[in-house]
Amino acid sequence: MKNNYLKLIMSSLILICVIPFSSVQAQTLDDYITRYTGENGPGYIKPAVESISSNMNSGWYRSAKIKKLRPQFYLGVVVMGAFIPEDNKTFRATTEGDFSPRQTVDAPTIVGSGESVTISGDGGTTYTFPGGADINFIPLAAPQLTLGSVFGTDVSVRYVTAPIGGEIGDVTLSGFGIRHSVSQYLPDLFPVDIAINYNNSTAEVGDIMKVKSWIAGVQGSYSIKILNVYGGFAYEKGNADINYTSSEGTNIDFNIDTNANMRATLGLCLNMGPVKLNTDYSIGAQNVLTVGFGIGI
Amino acid sequence: MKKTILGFLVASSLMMTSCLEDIATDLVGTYPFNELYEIDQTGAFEESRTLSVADVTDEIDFDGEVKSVGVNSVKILVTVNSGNTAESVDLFANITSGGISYDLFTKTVDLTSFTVGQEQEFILNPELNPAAVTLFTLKVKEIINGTFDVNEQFTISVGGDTNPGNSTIKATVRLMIDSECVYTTN
Repeated sequence: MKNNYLKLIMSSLILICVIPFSSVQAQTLDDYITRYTGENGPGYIKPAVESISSNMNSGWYRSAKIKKLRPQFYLGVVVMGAFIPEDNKTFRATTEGDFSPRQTVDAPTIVGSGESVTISGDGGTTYTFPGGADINFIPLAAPQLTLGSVFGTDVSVRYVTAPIGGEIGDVTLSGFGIRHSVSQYLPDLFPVDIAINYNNSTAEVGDIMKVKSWIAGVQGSYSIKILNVYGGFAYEKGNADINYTSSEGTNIDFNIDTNANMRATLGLCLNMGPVKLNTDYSIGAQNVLTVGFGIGI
Repeated sequence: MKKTILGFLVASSLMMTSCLEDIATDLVGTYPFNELYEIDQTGAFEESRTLSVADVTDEIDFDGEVKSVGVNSVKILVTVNSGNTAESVDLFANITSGGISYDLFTKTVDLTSFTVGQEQEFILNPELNPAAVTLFTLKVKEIINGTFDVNEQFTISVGGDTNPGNSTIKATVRLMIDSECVYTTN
């Protein structure tokens, strides 16, 4: 059997999402990408890249309260899940190679229907676009450490890595964020804590694929006893670079840009002493549900 | 605290794995038939290749039960060699198996414009015989799924006749059949 790097890329994309918990599905997902080494490749993969990007941009905060100068930290696990919208299930795919006549149809994306689409051509020929994984939800999990605060500023980092073997190497998810309190410049009577944030995340699969995303926004929170209501508005964007040479010597070079989008987030955090349990929901290009658990002061 | 953390991780795991449950998906692999036929003949000629099960299975790049096989394209790459005197050749390819035989295509190739060693490509999709395409795809599917009767030989031939009739053709013809195999994984 021939090696197929592109198959490994997609399985790695999914593997990024399940690093901390499961490797069960990775082998099965190896098979998905075979057909798309040409111009259809970016369209097929893009929804998964958007999900990973949306996930990486989620769960960074659970309060907008940042003291001006005081030790603050949070150490926890953040689990995010992006819901795949229906319009991400298909894309306009065009026949490739010497098939004639050239035709363009709606075909499943990597997250779309499992049923393939076959069209007929000259002289009894056919061309089939493969099905997708029929996924409605793509998860991601990562540990996160937040440290502060100096001049009303804190920083957050995420990092997780796992070897996936073979010639690919490691899958690594990393992220960095910085927040700055706006509340410190407002009168004390203002009841809502407000901060601005910028976060940058990267998911890498060896040296053949890199998914990058960033988000910048404004966030607010309001405390009621042990309950913290928080939310925000942000602007986010992501992209993926895929560059490899297949075992047949074909050089594949994809650059996939996700659309720049606004997102709105609303969440709740339960503070039980140092233990913090939070959940939030973001509405954006892909809606994301986040659950976080950690300790902090 | 340990119980709480463990419970959280288990719940998260269950949530994730339930989202990635096994789903039957139609995937597409390829079987590229690619054979070189050396022709050094005066007048009519025919060169045959009988495919073994291994000839097919060694070329596929997937595992799974094949639902269907299709042909994306058929093309020939013709190279004229030194000593060729034929001005043109009426080429055909033939698919034979289990006593059934169909010509896949017929094509007249004008050799006067060729220079020795130069390769020219002819994409033949519009000239294909759908019955031959169906026979080819049926046999490939049977071989991959392990239902092929080895007593039914699977032969792909390239033949033809030269113009003028007593001229000698010295050429190589590479026949390439790009086929797709739709298989299901779950």
